[in-house]
Amino acid sequence: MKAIHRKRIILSLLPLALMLLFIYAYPLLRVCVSAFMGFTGSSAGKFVGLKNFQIIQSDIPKTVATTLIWTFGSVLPAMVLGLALAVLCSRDFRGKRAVVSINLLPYAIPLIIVASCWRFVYNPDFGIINIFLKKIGVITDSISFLGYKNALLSVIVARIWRATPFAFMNYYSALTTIPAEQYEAACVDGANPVQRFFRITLPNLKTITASTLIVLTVWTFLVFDIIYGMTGGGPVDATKTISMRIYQEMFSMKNLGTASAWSLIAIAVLVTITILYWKFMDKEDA
Amino acid sequence: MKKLLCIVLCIALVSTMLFACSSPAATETTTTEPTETTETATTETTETAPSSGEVTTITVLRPGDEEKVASFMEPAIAAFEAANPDINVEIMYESWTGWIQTYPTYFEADTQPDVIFWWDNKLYDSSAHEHIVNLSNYLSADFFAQIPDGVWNLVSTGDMDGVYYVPSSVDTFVLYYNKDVFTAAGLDPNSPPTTWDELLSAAKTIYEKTGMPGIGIPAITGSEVLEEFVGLFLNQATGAAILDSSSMPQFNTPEGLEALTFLSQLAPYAQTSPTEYGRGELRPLMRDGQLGMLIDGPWAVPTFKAAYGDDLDNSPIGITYVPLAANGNKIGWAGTNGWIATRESTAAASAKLIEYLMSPEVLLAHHLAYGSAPLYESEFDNAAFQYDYWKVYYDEAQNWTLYGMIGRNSATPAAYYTALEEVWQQLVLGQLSAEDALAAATAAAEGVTARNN
Amino acid sequence: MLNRESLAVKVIRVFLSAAFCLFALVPIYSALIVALTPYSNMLEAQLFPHYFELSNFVSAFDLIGDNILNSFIYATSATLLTTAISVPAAYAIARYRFKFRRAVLFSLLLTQMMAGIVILPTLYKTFNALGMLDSPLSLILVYSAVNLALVVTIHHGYFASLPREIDEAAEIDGCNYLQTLWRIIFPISGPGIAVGAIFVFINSYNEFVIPLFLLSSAKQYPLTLTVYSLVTDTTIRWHIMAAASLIGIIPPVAIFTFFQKYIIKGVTSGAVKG
Repeated sequence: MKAIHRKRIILSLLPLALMLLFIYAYPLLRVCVSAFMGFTGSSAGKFVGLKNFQIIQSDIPKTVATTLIWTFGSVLPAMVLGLALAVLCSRDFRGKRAVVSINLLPYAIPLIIVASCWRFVYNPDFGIINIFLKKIGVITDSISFLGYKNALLSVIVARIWRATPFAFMNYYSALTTIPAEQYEAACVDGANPVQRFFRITLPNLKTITASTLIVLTVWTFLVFDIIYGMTGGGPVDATKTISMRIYQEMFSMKNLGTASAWSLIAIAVLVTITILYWKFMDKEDA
Repeated sequence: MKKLLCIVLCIALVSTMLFACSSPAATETTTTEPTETTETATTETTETAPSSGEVTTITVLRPGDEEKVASFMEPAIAAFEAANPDINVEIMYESWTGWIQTYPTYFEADTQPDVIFWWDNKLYDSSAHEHIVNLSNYLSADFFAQIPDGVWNLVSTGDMDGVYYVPSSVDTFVLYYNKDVFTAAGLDPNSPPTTWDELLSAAKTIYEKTGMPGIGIPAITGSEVLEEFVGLFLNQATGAAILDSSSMPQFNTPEGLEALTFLSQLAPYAQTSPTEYGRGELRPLMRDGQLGMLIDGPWAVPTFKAAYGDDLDNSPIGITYVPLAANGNKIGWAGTNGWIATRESTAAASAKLIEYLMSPEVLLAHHLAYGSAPLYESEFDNAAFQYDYWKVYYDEAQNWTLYGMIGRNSATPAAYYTALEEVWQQLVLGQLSAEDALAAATAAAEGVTARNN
Repeated sequence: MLNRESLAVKVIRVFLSAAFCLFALVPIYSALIVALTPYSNMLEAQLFPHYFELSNFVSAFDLIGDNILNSFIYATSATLLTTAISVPAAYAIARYRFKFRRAVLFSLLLTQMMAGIVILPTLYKTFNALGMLDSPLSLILVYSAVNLALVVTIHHGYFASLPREIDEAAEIDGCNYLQTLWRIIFPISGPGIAVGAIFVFINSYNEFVIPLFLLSSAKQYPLTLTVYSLVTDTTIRWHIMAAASLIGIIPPVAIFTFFQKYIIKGVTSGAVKG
């Protein structure tokens, strides 16, 4: 490679590299170090081995389980709904543009405002679902949507609401790339719409499904705003995901060590998924 | 199509400008409504200030609703600046939530206000501790004498030698009850419960006769309200503060168990799903007659006043002392807020400002604007405090042994609230028995203390 | 032959469309009802608004007007900075095959997968050591960094689709590298750059966790922080919170609806935040 090219490449990438080093690489390195350092009382500033992990140990199984339920409980339904919506909109009909626009709307709304809007929906005193169910006589007492039993499900529904448009967009544009001839051929063979969906549509959506699944999983895994704004991680520990733990350790316990320990657990999961995704994309490109 | 980028940026810039133009108007409207009482405060300042060339600029923060704070703070600061031309004061505004979220960052960044309305239990907070200035040398003995002894006892600052904190409001709990609900349940609205047993039976009667919750339990996550509610009963039963001076729990006793047992009996008559309610959610229920009783501080008064006018004595809302435990000890919960100074370099000016903010007229305006109970007996001279119900708060603060907020000797006061909250939530949800909750709460508090050692 | 449609299919479609739209609109509709109700009537059961208290919107705007302005400033600055960093980087990645190209791409993907919350505790300490806490500058830097991977991906995809002959011709005409980038590539890349800019703007406007960690002064708050600080205030002013939320979502929703076509394109051209 010519020297002039090398210089250009380096100059072009330098600002990007500096940014990523400063905002990502260095803090990540510090997380890895801090997770094994003490920050409180007599252990401040010392290497403490696995002590931070021992402190949070008893919370790990429940927190990880909650995080996984939160992640897959919202990603999978969001993808199914997104696909259904995309199939619904894959043909022209009157009012289609409105349906598309309305269903994309949640995607533009800040997560913290998503949380506050859903708090109105779920409110035990004036929430619209409770009022509706009472009016039609299904219930007499309010359902406690954000109470201990339902809280996780309720925040998941809010997350589904926000994630569905993303899955929808992906499927919607993927559907337009399926060659019409495939459908025509299937019609000639006498396949009904259901058979056409399973024989042609689904196989063609394999790649987009995989990448949407991974991307949504990774981004849902550490969503903070929705849970923070709706339940604050409670009641008790019903909605305490890893991101809630990081925040709590950092600002309520004021312990960078245990906060970093939680971060490290999350990072391990994320890096693993990223590598799998990278390999998968390589295979798709080849 | 090629101009798309331009369009995006233009929209951003134009909207930016539009908002820039409209925002000054917005600030004006929120800040120009001084109350009657604050005007008196303004005119009564006659102090003469030493005229030196140098002007010290200090910032002051009283967290809370901007409108309420501005209504007493702005005229007070204007008068203070007029009397002290060498001091320039900037007022900052933060909501309580915003402030609690961000004060650690302020102190870490050393951008905190010079004078802050602080809590008595956060003097050892690891973010703030080393910033708080000893005011003993800047304030006079006369000044200290005007604050009642009971209040000073409440805020003894442990081994911090000197005066680091000037208490400005004492908030005690009282029992609010809805007289209409009492009548509907066949209870006498003029004899509210005075003991735990009566409290329990009143709650039960209301729940069974009217179908409404007998008592409100604020148990929402991420706030200090549940610990304060449970703490009140523990204080009464054990006759001791929740944590001792080395932040170890003191409630792991038979009396502590008695308190938790009582709460587990009371919980079924509270509102469904207590963890969805904080005090702010319960007050409208009390106001609208959908709740029998509520233990809350003076901060609830503005909600009721907005509906029934100043004279709550003649309203459906009854206000009385918190019912007593079987031991009959007059022990109550109280939290105080007060002023701290945070920079040695501006301490003299800060102390002057604090002294001014504590002068009776300004303090009265402060209490009236914000719905706090009187601190000086002289405040009762004001018409707004003439009603009988204010005596209840004042008596609670003067004649009771008070145990305030927890974590005052710890570097991480907030951690105790977080750790205990989980246990108390399980208790009121019926997931833990009183025995198990006692053990779990003891372990949780000890765990937080152990982390800091 | 695919256009033949039975009545049953039509009915199902109308029903499903209605159900989906209902689901999408219910939270916003709820907020609207709350925003129109006076505080003292909040506990009334309303399926349809009984009140039209428009003054709630005025009070809410008084409260958040400055913060919307802050959000605009932060988001616009982050958009400019991100674009300025991303264009040359994406161009180099699209045009050259070099030794660390895959490493660069992988680190970009990694940063895109890494939610802010895992690095914010240590980033907080770093900014603190540098005296950069509570400063809009650090906020803009972080906004920009978290959006870089996404924008580089979008720009990269766009530049790769431009014919190579264009810059070769420019070079023959005597343009140096920067001139080629500025005079030739930049002007014809409008759509690609715009898609990236829209995303950075909306993402930055909507950001909550980063300012939650890095800012303290209320007067510097972006809109999202202010709306949240209304949630658990001493008296819960549901009506103001709802009105503030509805005002606050207008900018991103408007931009999003207006540029919908480009956004869908952006989503499919590279992974985009969900």
